[in-house]
Amino acid sequence: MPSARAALGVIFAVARAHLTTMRRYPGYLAVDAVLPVIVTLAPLLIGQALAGPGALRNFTANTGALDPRAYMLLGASQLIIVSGALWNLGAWMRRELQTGTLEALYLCPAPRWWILAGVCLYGLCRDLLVFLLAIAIGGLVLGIDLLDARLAFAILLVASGSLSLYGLSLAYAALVLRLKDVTALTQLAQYAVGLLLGAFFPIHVLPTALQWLARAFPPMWITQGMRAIMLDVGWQLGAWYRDLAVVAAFSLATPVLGFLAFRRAESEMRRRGGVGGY
Amino acid sequence: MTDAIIDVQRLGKRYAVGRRRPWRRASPSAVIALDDVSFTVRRGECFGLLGPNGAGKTTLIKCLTTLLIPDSGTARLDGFDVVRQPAEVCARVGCMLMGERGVYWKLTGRENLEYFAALYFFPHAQRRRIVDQLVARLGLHDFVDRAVETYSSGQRMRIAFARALIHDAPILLLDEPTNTLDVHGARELRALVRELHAAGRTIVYSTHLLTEAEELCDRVAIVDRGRIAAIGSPRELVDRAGYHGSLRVIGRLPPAALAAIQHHPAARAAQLTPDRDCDILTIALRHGGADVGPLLTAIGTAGGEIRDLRLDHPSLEEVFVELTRARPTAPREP
Repeated sequence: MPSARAALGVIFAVARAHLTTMRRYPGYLAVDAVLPVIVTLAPLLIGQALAGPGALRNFTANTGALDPRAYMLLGASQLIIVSGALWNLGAWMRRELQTGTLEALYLCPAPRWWILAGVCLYGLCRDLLVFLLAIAIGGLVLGIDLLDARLAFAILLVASGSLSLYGLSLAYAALVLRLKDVTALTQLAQYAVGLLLGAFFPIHVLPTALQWLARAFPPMWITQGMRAIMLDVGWQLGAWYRDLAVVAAFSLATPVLGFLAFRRAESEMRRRGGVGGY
Repeated sequence: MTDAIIDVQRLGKRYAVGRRRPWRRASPSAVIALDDVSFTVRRGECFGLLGPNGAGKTTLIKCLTTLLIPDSGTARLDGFDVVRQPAEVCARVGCMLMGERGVYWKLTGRENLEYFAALYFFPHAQRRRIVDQLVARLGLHDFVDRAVETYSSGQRMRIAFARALIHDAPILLLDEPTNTLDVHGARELRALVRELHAAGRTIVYSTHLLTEAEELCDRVAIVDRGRIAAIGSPRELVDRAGYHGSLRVIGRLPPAALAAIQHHPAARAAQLTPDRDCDILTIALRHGGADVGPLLTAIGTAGGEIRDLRLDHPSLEEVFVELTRARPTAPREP
C-alpha cells in the first residue's frame, strides 16, 4: 500500500488539475457566483408583490430573521453549493465516462478513493469560493453586509458539513455508474433539493411528511445552521451543539453509505465491462 | 514456462444479453466473449493479438488490464493476479487502449502527463523530469504545451502513447495504436515499438493490420469467436497452414496451359481468368518460389506467351482469412 504522502500527492494532483481547468474557464465560476444573487431576487420580488401591512413582522415571526434579503441570499447561495456538491462526483464520473478518461484512471494503480477525494477537495474549494463571492456580490447588489466574523464560523460549518454532502454525492456517482445517464433524474432531484433544503422558507411550513424528509436530508441542517450563526434565527433542536451533533452523525453515516453503494456499483461495472461504456 | 511474464489459463467471460427482471426466473441469455482462453507471453516478447471485430480481443485486453473481471480462469501479469492484485498489475502495465480518447482536452499535453504521473505515485519533483524525458524521446516539443483540444488526431494519439510509457512498465499493452495516425505517424510509432521491444520491453500488440503484426510481432494469437484459433510466429502459422504463395502469370494463355499447370506437381491449384487482351493465370504454389521455373517452362511448352508475372509471397492474411472465415454468429464485445 503506498504511503500517506503518496495519497496526498494523488489527491492534490487531482484537485490541481481541476482547478487548472477552472482557472482556464473562469466564466463557469462567475455564473455560479452570480446565480445565487439572481435566484434570491425571485422570492424577494414575489414577497414584495404579495406583501401587505405587517408582512415583515410575519416573516420574522415565521423565520426568526429580521432581514429577508439576508435570509434569501444565504438560502440561495447554499442551494447552489449543495446542488454543486451533490451532483459533483456523479457529474464528474459521467464526464469521465464520456471522454474515455475514466478507463484511463482505472488503468492507474492509484486507489479510486484517493482520486475521488481529490475531486471532492476541488469541489470544496470551488464551493467555498462561490459562497464567498455570492455573499460579497449579493451584499453589494442587495445592500446588505454579511462579511463579518460570523462568516468564518458559517464557512467552518459548511466545510465540515460537506462530508455528509460528498457521502450523498458518492451514492449518486454509484447511480451514474449503474445507469450511465441520469440527466432526467438529476433535474427532478434538483427541485426536490431546493424544497427540502428550506432555501427560501423555514421547513416547518412544509407539509408534515416533507418536514420529516427534510430532517433526513443533511444539507437542511447545514443551511439552517448557517442561518442560525449569521442571522440568529435559532437552532433546529434549540442548541448549537445538538444541531452540530446531527451534522456530525450525518458526516459519519453518509460517506459510509456512499462508499458501500459505490463499491458495489463499481464491482458490478467491472463484471459487466462498463468502465469504458457510456 | 518459467520466463512467462503473462500467463493466461482457461480464461472465460460471458456477457448477459438483455436485462434481468426480478419477476422472471430465467436468467437473461449470455454471449460468450472468451471461451477457455489459454496462452503465455514470454518476457521481452512482442506478442500480437489478431482477430476480426467482435472476436473477443478487447474483452481479453480488458481482463488483462483489470478493467473487467473474468468469470473463470486466471490471468497473471509479472506474477500478479489480475483479479486479486489489480493495483500491482496496473503498476506493471502501460496501456494504450482507447486511442486518442483518455486524455483531458482542457489541459495541455504536459499537464496531462504530469497528472497521470501523479497517479503512478511519482513525487512532484520527479514528475516534471519524467515528462521532460518523454517529450524529448517522443518529439512532442511542438505541441505539448498547448491545450489538447487544439491537437490533431495524431498528436492526441502520441500523448496517449506517452501516457502509456510514463511509469516505464515492463509490459506494454497497445490496442490498435496506429488507428488514427497518418502514414508517417504510424511508421514513427511502429519504429518506437520496435525500439521498446529491442530494449527488452514485453509488448502485447492488438491490431487488425496484419502487415503490422508480421512486421512487429515475434508471435501472434488469432482470436476468433472467443477462442484462440491459432498461435505461433507469423512464419510458423503460414507454414503450418501449408501456404507457399501464389504466382500470377499474365499473357496469352490457351486452355492447354491451364491444363498443364493443373496437373503439374508444383501447383496446388490454378485458375484462369480469360480476357480480350490478356489472360491471367493464378497458381497456388505447392513449395514456394522454387516452383516458378518449372511452371513457366510448362506454360511455354503448352503454347503460352508470357508478358508479365508476379510472385506473391505467402502472408498471414491468408491464414487469418482462412481461420476466421465462417462466422455464423459473432460474440459481442463490450
